[in-house]
Amino acid sequence: MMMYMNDDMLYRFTPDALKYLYVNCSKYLDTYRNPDANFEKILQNAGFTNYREPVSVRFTRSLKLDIPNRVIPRYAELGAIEFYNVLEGMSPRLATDPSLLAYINHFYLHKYGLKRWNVSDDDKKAVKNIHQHWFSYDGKFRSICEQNLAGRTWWIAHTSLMAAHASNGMLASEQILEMFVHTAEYYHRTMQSELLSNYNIMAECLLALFNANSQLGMNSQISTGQYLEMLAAVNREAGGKLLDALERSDLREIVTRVANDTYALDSNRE
Amino acid sequence: MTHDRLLFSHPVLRPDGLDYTASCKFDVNISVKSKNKNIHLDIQYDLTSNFLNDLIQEHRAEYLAVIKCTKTGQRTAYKSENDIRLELDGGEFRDKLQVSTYIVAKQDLAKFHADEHDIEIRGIAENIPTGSILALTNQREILLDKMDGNVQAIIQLSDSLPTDDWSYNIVMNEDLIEIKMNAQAYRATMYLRSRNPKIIFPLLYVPAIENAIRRIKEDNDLDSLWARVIQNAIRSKDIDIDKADPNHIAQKLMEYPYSAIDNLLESSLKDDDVHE
Repeated sequence: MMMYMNDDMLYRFTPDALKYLYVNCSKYLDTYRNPDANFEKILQNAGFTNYREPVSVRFTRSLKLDIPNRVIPRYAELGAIEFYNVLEGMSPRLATDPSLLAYINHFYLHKYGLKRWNVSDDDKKAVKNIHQHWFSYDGKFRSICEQNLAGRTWWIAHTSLMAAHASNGMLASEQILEMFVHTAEYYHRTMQSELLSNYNIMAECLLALFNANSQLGMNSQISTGQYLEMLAAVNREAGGKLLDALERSDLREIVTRVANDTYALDSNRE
Repeated sequence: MTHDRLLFSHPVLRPDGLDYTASCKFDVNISVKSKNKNIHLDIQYDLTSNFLNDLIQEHRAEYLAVIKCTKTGQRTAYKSENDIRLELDGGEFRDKLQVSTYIVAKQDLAKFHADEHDIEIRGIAENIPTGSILALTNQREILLDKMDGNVQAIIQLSDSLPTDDWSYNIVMNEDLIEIKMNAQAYRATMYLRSRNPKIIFPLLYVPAIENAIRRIKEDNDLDSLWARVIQNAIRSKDIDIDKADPNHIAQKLMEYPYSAIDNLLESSLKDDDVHE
């Protein structure tokens, strides 16, 4: 499955157009299930002469978003960094704008979205699927970065890049992205953790996770439960002190020690 | 994150806390400005504790400001030994910032006791590890001018007016200006807005903004979001608020919406041509 994007200046839906599509999507399920859906026609037929407004974001070149593995569609997100780089002018602020994300989802990612996130044959479930993955109407950060088509793709890339940068060369963004894609719960728990919203702390915890998995080898890996346990233990270390205040070496010492204890690894191994 | 209710195993100077004598205080003043899509924060620490002040002067403790945005998941900490001025990229944040300020230990502190500590807990903590919170203030929330000077976006229409007629009320809330009307009027307005937004601007938005401008002229120190956005917009258009008429200012900020009538006239003339 491939989606090509032109060298386009982007738009966001106007509030009324966004609300109309969100509230009325149950009337247009056939359209939503159609890979060649024409959402502009829906809005024009509903009387919208002005359904979008320009934003300072553009696609700098064409992009292919593939679904390389039909058994595990989320492997498409291995292309997330390319998607991220192609969107010039995007920022965390814009990447949490439901109207911009919905516009990208409807006009650029719809065909890809039908493969990535299935729209159910059951109409009630289909409405829920569409609301979750095409809209994120409530604008909540968690639903945007976990469920939204464009939002998840952008944020999984952004987080990988920012954590890699904060790791000062210890981890590459592709390594982090691969961890997140192969084990989606690593990504979800990382994004949900307030502790890890500081990229330095995130980088140290992901480095500890990566090292632990490397030690365990191909046939085993740290479970989500163990990862969560480690995060909780790091949080307990914080307690009356702020990890944000620590020098990097002290932070790394704490995270490494906690990770070794939690993952029951041999701390003498490199 | 808030640490207001956490218990510590060592004295911490905090609002409504009892660990220090009453004369000791730690507070912060934060002023915010938006400029060229960046956010300028001036953080001024206000500390009256000789003990903690000495620790900072000796480079054994420091101020820490943690700035967080729950909408974009961003959190960054800024260390300093004095007041701090920050320039933040507005693109990193949405809607509001939460600012938490602390004094933290820069190194392990041995024999952490002072005459300023309340007598009941003086000397209870022998060694305080690096990074420990020594003082904190209440968390502050800063609403961001998300609209980048777009005055339309600070106006909210609502259908909550319990009347039978087509009147509307303009209500100046803390953040937004609300134009209230009854449900029928609201539906008609939304329909009209979806087709030609400019039509409702002179009818509703200009009076609302004129109202706001008059309030701003009466009170320069208004801190509401709508006041900040309108003042930014006025400055960006080089309007002298003291000299210009509020109604004219409102029309200029809305880019003379009455000009929309020109489009209507053109369409109407075209329709006439067709019928002939």
